[in-house]
Amino acid sequence: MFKDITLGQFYPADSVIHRLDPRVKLLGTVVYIASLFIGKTFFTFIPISVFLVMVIILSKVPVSFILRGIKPIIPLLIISAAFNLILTPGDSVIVRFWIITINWEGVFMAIFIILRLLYLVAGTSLLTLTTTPTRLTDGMEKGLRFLTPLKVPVHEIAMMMSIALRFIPILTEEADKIKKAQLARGADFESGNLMKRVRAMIPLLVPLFVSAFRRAGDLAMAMEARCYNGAEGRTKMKPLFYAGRDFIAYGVIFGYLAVVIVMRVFGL
Amino acid sequence: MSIIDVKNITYDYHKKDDQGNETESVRALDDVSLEVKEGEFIAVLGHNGSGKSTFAKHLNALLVPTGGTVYICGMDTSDTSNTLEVRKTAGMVFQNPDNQMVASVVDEEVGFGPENMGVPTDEILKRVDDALNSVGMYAYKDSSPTRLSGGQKQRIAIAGILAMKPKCIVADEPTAMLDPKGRADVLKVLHMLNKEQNVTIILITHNMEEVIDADRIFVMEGGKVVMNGSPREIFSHVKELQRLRLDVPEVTKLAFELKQKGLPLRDGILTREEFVNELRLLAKGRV
Amino acid sequence: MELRTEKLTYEYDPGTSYAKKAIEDVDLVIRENEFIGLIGHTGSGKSTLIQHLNGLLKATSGRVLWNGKDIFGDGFDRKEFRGHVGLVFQYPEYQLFETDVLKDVCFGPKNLGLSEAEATARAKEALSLAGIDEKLYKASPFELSGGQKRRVAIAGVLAMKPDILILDEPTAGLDPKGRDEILDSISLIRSETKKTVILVSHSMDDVAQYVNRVIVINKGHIEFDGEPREIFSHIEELEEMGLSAPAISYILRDLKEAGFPIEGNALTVEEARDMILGIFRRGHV
Repeated sequence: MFKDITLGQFYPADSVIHRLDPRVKLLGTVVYIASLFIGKTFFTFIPISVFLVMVIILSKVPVSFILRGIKPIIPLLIISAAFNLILTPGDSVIVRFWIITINWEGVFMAIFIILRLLYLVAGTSLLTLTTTPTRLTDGMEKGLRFLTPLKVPVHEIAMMMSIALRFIPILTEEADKIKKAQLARGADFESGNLMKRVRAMIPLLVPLFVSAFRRAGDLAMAMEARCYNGAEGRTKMKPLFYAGRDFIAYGVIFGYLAVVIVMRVFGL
Repeated sequence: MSIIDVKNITYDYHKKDDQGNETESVRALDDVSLEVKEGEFIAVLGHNGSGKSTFAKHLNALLVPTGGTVYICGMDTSDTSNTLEVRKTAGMVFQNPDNQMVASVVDEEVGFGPENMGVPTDEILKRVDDALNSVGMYAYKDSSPTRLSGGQKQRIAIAGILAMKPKCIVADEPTAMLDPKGRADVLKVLHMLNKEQNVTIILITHNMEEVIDADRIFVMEGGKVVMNGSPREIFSHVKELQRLRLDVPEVTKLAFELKQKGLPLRDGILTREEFVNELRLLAKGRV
Repeated sequence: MELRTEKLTYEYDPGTSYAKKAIEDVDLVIRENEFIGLIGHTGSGKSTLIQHLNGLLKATSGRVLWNGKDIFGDGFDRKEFRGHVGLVFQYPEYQLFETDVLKDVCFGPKNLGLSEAEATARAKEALSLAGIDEKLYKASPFELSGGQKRRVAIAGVLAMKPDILILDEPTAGLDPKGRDEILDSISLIRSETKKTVILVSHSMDDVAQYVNRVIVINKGHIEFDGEPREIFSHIEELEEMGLSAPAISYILRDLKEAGFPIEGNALTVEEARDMILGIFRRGHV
């Protein structure tokens, strides 16, 4: 159940998207997310789909890999679709039973929300799939450096993020192992009511937390032993420089944003 | 000048109860002294709780002694202005290969130390390549560490220290979590660095098979150094080692047992070749 | 009691480019009162195999039969079955979660539906077999030493009273003292309960002197299955599989090659000592 989480995983490949400066990709992701919320009609999914498909093709990341990342959010999709289906007010009633009314507005909203969430996960997972955590944090650190005078600990936040991403696969694997070990002791994670299931998670979560704290302690010591001392006096092994392709990419991103805004303005 | 000079150090840590009150003070190291010369391969043996890991952390200024002094290349580790310089001189490799890796790509992992030291970019790239070549992991430069075996991860960890150009590597049970092949590979790398690049090695372990090629062995028990000497000297004391509940290589044990039963074999036999030769000489003597 | 595998095959990520057969056509029969060493190097398929033996993994093809019944057949109670085949994973101390030792060991028996009193009685029995002192029953499992934690974890599976106890690398990462204590408890469990025990390891030295049957697995196939002394005489074949024979086997081989009249194989230092003394006493050299 845990190994399907692709969020935060890196897919090594040699593609133009992989080579882009992480600052470009970060901005691109922000613009992409914004575009999903700017659009109010199904028509906006035309430029969004073109943009997403183009990036996926250029990134050389197999579509199956991206689809696998969608599997864990299916429950979330169902819940939010159901809420929208039931709770959206409207007049064009399709069916009515008990206290539940389903109308065409609700169906529209439910489909719209599903699409929006699917596109959101597919697009954002591309950022981490094509960018190593270190490059990502380098990009954040440099891209957000303007916040440092405001006493925002940009370097520390970036470092924490990068370490969190590095340990996601290790901890998911560990969760799988602990789950199997408790199954072997007769634990039951699948039956019973909600309360019972939540309680059944304790034998899984306690060891996982204990292990995470132990790892954190070990890592802190190992980092200290390797002269880690915060951002001060630190150099970069792979410093960030903009190349020609990065400026082209900026152009594409702003062009895309403009198209989506124009569509919204014209009510499409 | 000795690269490591430990003078009568003690280290106490305090246990606290739930309210945070000090309940008892435990002496983890008790009057430990030892000196290591540059280029030596030293093994520190002892079982868990003997103080060997606490001792290792003193060599890297992760801990400073309660009493006594540790000098690394003449620098007093308890002086905080020396801390970074001490850590550059004596690098440290830990037991759990996963828990000491910061980066998600091998070359970035190896570059982490030099980055912290403020080494210029070009120089970092060169050092990373050299270090990966030294441990035989250059082919995995762009891989993710999660996909490597335990032994490969430990070699990456060693490369991460090598890129800091230390004079000395302190390895705290680097093989405890590895399978036999990973274990052999890591040991081979440590011996190679010692011979070819003159890196002083301090190997902390509880595995006897790993120490027979060391120059000198220190055996720790209850926070004290209880035995020290060459492997042959140490392994001549089979009874003493067994009392400390430490292992003895099977061939040493066999030779010892035969001697107990009256065969006049020499003490401290460490390898099969030696053993076979000794028995041959004995057989010839009888003819 | 009989646990049998028939043509057991398991493939990881079938149908993708990562597809890999972890085990293939494994036929095994495990019976009462056996002490088995399952040997294979990392990636040989041994961990995959044992997860099939208590139904944590479902084979791609082939079957696992418990007393003749398919464990994935209709109406088979797998939860109850897991009480019969106890599996102790590698580094089992990482599964401890309760506030005290006794409660943690009770977790398994309670899952089997036993009452508080029965579970506690079983837990105490298991803890004493694992060599855990009564004084530690109320201690937090996180405060124990590495070796003690592991013995508590083993007791946690033992308290379910399995007919077969499988231990995956029970001594990994322990110092010689901790290792000896674990192996001593396992021997005690064997002699007291006559349970079938399967010891999974990549170290021949650990298993050689304890077990009475050795199964060697390599690249997902069973290569040897038989009496330890016989199997450990195949030094070359074992080395080709990335394994090694016990140190004593090597010493005896070297002596033989040097012209000493060594016959048969020995597994322990004492056996080898008596063998060599015999040669010298009889004046064969």
